[in-house]
Amino acid sequence: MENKNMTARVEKNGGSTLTSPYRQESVTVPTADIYETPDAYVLSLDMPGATKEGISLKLDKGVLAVEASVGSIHAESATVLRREIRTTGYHRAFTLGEGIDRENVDAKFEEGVLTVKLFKSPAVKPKEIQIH
Amino acid sequence: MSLIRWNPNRELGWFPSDVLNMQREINKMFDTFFRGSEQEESALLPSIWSPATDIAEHDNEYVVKVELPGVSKDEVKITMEENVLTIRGEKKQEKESKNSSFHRVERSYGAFQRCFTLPTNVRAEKIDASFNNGMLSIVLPKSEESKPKQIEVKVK
Repeated sequence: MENKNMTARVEKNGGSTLTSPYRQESVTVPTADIYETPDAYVLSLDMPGATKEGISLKLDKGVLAVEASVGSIHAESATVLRREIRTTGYHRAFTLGEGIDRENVDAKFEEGVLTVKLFKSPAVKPKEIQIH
Repeated sequence: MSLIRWNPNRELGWFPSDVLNMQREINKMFDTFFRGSEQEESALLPSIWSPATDIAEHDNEYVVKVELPGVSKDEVKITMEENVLTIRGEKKQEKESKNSSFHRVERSYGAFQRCFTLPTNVRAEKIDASFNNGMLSIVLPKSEESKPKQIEVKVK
């Protein structure tokens, strides 16, 4: 139910996800680090509480979208004495530039961190040029 | 490249509900206009982060949950002294190789510490902790005496 709503809204927004109506629903924009290695861009997103199965990662028309829903972390019978964790889900999108090999993307989820490796397309990789 | 601390408000744009935030931003704008750059000053301070924590009470135990993505179990130390639970540790920045360069750093790194005073009825020797998907769960069982008891009273 929750999930359906979310997708519906994304479409209405035309995929512009950072100006978000989600805030009230506590869908968090996960914090991200991006670094570049000689052959790839590496994206790390903090998504504590998400599960590998619950994450959807899509690459469509040059936009990489990450979405995940997080269930309630407390048992229903429990009394919550302190509540600082308010995330019910994660959502963030990145527009990829030229020079990324769209067919060659690697992702893993470990310790609550989603790491996406976007390999550079061969055309933009630094090349050593032989001198004859 | 200079590093500037990430401010989610800057990136997310304006929300109609965030009038207070907007006011703060406008105040900051005036401040920086008249006094020079405030942003740079605050960016120089060491960043402090404290991981979000929930505490829930169950019938037989308390459960503490801490958001610690990217922190391994060896990097966290949990201690219980008197009835104060202390969670401390350090999140280290991992980078693949020397030839890589950062484009964006939003995640928090460094040392953290959180302390919570708990009710006195916790059995310290039975505390158990586990890590799952970047979420630390600490289970603190209550002592026998404090568990809810049902006593049947016979009516004569």
